[in-house]
Amino acid sequence: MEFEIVHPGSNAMIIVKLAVGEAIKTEAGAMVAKSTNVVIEGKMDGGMGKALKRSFLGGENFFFQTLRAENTAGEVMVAPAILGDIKILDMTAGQDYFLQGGAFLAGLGEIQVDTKMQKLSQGMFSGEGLFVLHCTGKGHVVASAFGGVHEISIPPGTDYIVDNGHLVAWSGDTKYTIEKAAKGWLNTITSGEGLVCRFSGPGKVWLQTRNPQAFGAWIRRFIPTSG
Amino acid sequence: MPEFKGNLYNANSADCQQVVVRVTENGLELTRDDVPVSILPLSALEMKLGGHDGRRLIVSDTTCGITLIMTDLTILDALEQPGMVPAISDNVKEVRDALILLPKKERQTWAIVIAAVIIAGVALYASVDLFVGLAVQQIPPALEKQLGNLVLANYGRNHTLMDSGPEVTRVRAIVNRLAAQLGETPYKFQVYVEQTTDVNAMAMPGGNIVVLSGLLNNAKNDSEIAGVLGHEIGHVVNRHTLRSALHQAGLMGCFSIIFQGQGQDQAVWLANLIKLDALQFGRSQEDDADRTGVVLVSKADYDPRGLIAFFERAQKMQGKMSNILDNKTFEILSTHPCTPERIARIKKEIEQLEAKSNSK
Repeated sequence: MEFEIVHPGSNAMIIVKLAVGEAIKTEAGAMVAKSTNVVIEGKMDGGMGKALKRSFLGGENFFFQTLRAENTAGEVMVAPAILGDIKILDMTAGQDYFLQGGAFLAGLGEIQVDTKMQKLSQGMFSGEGLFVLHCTGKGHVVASAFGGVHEISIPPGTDYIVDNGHLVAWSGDTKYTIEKAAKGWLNTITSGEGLVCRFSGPGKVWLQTRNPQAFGAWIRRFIPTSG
Repeated sequence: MPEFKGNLYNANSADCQQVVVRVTENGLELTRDDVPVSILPLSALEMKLGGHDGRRLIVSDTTCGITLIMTDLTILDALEQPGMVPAISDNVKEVRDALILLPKKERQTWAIVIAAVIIAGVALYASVDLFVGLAVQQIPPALEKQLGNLVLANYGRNHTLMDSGPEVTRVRAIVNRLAAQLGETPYKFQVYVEQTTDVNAMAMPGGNIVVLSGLLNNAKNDSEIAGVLGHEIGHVVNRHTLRSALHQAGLMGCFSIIFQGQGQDQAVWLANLIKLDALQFGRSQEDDADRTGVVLVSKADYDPRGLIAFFERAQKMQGKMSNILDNKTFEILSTHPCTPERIARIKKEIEQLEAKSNSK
């Protein structure tokens, strides 16, 4: 299986070349185009329980789409609904990743997607919700973001602060806690940052350069509310 | 010798490589593709739980800064074997103690989440009808009448309705007698009769009442007709159509808040939830209309048991005639199910009214 990202940036799309019998798993409705020998199957993936969890708790669709090359090699193009970049996360070294709900675009290889509950404090204040997606297996996970994707490396014994609402994905070996952005509640509130996520290494975090909630709030200012 | 998989991070690096870990008396032997990578001496190790889920073993070599992260915690058993340095045994015990607490914390989180969802759901559901009640008060009956006229005009396109003739006169007399018991009311009742063998009656918002002539032909006396019409007047004066529409709109709003419009799957579940709720809400409106009807019929000096007698006879007739009549004939039984519970509630209502009347 070969893949490349085209039009990186705001309008990124991934093109995957499939050998005979190879398949990828994507978010339902993410396919842009495909060669004629690639067949589409809608699957619950992981059974009814996992599909329900993923759909109701993880913010993903109940069904995943499987795109399989039958008889001959094929090609498929996949893109997210939102404007923004996409990031390919490597799982060949046994890593696992957590993704914010809705960030999963595709799984290339033997990828399992499950829903995991975070701690209450993380669920309430991280901006990612109580439930996040957990990707395990062998291959690559394709994550979509709002804006650009930026990688932060956190070596062992070090921490990094990330504003909530900007998280896209993080490696399973890292952990994060919620804390005030500044010293004291007054500074925290007046700084406009509120609460932030403190990630502890080792591991990596991928950020989206734009905060969807903040963008939504900005857009709402320009929507007429009367007459 | 048992082998375990681990993610190895060198000092100052966030990139990991997967290694195979073996526990020996010298320490943790790390290999990659059968090539030795490092040996972490037991005396230099510090262990704790970590990772996003808090269930991974984080092993740090305090001398060289290497960190090893493992999800397979059976390595703790190997580290408890005799011959290990005492410091490791103590550290393993600390990790095991922390592991014991994890399920308890997770159960607590689930309990809080489920309780919060139930409380929020019940509060939202309860507040919908409170706000529906307030909203209904703001809508003038004249608007309801306009809505009712639209519904009537639409119904009249496919059905022939009469607004004069002996049957209309009979029904109008009963309706006027019942309406007179309402006291001051903004509703003016208009009566229409449709010639058909079907047995039913329906009330539209604002006071338009359509009676199918099958009802008149199958009723034994005016009390039975009054029972059905009292029920229909109950729907009008309690503004059930309006309440039902606002209740459903309110529920849509509540569910949208809860699910935040997450995708089409939720929309399907949402539609089914609203259908279920509509059934339940419809039943409570039927009971409400029964109560109003029984009061009106009693006050108008009709026999309040007429409604029960009519429904019970209709049910028997439907059973006997099911082979020769289509199911539509006794449609009134599908829109107003004659369940034993409903009959019991109407009887209880009548008894309470009679007891109240006797005590005066």
